[in-house]
Amino acid sequence: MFGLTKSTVEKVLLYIICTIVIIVVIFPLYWLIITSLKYDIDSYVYPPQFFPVNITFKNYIDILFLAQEGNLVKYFLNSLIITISTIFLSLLFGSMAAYSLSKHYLSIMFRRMMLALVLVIRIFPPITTAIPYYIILSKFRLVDTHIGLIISYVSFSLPFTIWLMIGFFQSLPAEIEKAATIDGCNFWQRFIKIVIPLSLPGLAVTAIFGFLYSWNEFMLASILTSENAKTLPVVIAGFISDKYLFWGKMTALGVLMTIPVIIFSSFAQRNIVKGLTFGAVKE
Amino acid sequence: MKQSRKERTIVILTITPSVVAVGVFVYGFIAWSIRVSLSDWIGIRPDYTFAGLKNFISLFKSVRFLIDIYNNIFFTILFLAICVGGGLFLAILLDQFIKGEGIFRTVYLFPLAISPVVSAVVWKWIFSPKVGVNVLLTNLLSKIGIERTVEFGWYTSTASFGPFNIALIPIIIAASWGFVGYVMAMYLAALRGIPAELKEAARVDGASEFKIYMKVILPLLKPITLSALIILGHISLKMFDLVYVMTGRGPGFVTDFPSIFMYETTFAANKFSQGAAISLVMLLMVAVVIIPYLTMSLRRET
Repeated sequence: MFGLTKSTVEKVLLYIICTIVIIVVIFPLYWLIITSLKYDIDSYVYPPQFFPVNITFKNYIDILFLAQEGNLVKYFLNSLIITISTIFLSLLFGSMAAYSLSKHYLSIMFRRMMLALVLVIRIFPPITTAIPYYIILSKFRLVDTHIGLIISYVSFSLPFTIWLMIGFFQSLPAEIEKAATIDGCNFWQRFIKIVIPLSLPGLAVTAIFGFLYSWNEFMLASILTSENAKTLPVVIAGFISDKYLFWGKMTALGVLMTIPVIIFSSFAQRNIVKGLTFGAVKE
Repeated sequence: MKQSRKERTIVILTITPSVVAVGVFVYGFIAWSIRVSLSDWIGIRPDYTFAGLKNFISLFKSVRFLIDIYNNIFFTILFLAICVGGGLFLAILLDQFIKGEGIFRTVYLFPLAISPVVSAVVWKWIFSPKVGVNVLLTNLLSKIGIERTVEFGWYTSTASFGPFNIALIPIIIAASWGFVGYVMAMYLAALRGIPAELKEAARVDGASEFKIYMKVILPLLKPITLSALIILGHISLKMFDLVYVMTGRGPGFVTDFPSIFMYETTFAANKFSQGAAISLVMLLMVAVVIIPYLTMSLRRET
């Protein structure tokens, strides 16, 4: 079954296996969607309804307009503001630093050291910084504010931004910059007018990673926010209580949260592995 | 290219914000955590009285932490085994150049992008003792005439094989669901990088397709396997979101992890010094796994 030329039987077999795997992979997502379209009571029935009988948009209307937990539009905006700010700041500072680190402006020893310090952050459990974050943000009254969470997210998204952008900058042909220097362009002119426009695809991919990170992050958000700056993952987790599980609301919010994720990650599909291996695999 | 002093200043300026952010908020904060872990801080008010290794000693004497370590180790082993085995299987499957491969690949990668909190919610339903798989099983068994006498508790089950809590199984499945596609993509990229002549040569020598995979291709994938093990290893040692939302610590800590212990100790019980100690043990555990990965990546870069 491994050859280049395959018999029909082998082909059919391959498709059957691939399709079974697809069903297994998709089922949880399918279940997410149909549960969000059911009344909570129907999530408990026996046998489970694989095709919803009474379709309702009640859960969506509830979480968007009527929720007792407060208007979820606010939390949606929180997630959006925090995510966009994180992406913007990490790209701004990260690409600047990456540009300086990718070219021969600094000694090789220094660059190596910087790269090592940046790379090693990826492995730190963010929880190790949770207590100091909590202390310092309380001190400056920044707990439960957008700024507080943005600072913590930027510090963890800068490393992968720098790492990815160095790769993109290094792949640019050196001649272009040399020509620009001869034409009298200074550092900023080269960076802004030549390097950045050529690296837009790289910036886009890095932005998608920043999006996936800060949109989905839960731990720091649950520690550093309580009400005003609460993000969507924290809201979803909040629907779980000892007494009752709001399946409908949880899954409806889960669907709304997942739609942008699916859209953006399909754009970055080819690069997603590269970004996550973080330099461990040469492609 | 000779650079002016002005240019050098600009270069330093460009890296300053990142150096400060990373230096203060990551490295500085880890140092701060160390300080807290060596203190006597219990309660809301900061107390940096030096207490030596007291917190670490009491941690290793605590039953809960021992269970956590066991849970995390068993979880890691099984999670890695499923992801690497499943990922390799899927990669070889998709390497057969079938039509529609792009669609399969895209869909297999979907779970990677989905928030652990969202997937925790769905898997919580699937393995809930009251609904989900349990109801299905009961239904299926009663159809063929068997009445269930044993109730499966899934992630609430307190049964165990030695120190392995079977309640971990649903979490391992949920976590693997998220990462199998990722390992597959790593392997697939490597498989596509193997020159076709290599396979051709082996084929000419009369090797069967199965043998080509076993003797030629798999050995070439070893570095990928190592990367995958290390990357997934540190992910699983840091695991928090998925477990916290899906099951929490569970009855008798059957699904407890060091990260959950840390979270509850610090932010529910206000034992800051204890919490810091747990987070540092986690950092050490990750460091042990990651050192080979770091040296490897750095040798490749620059």
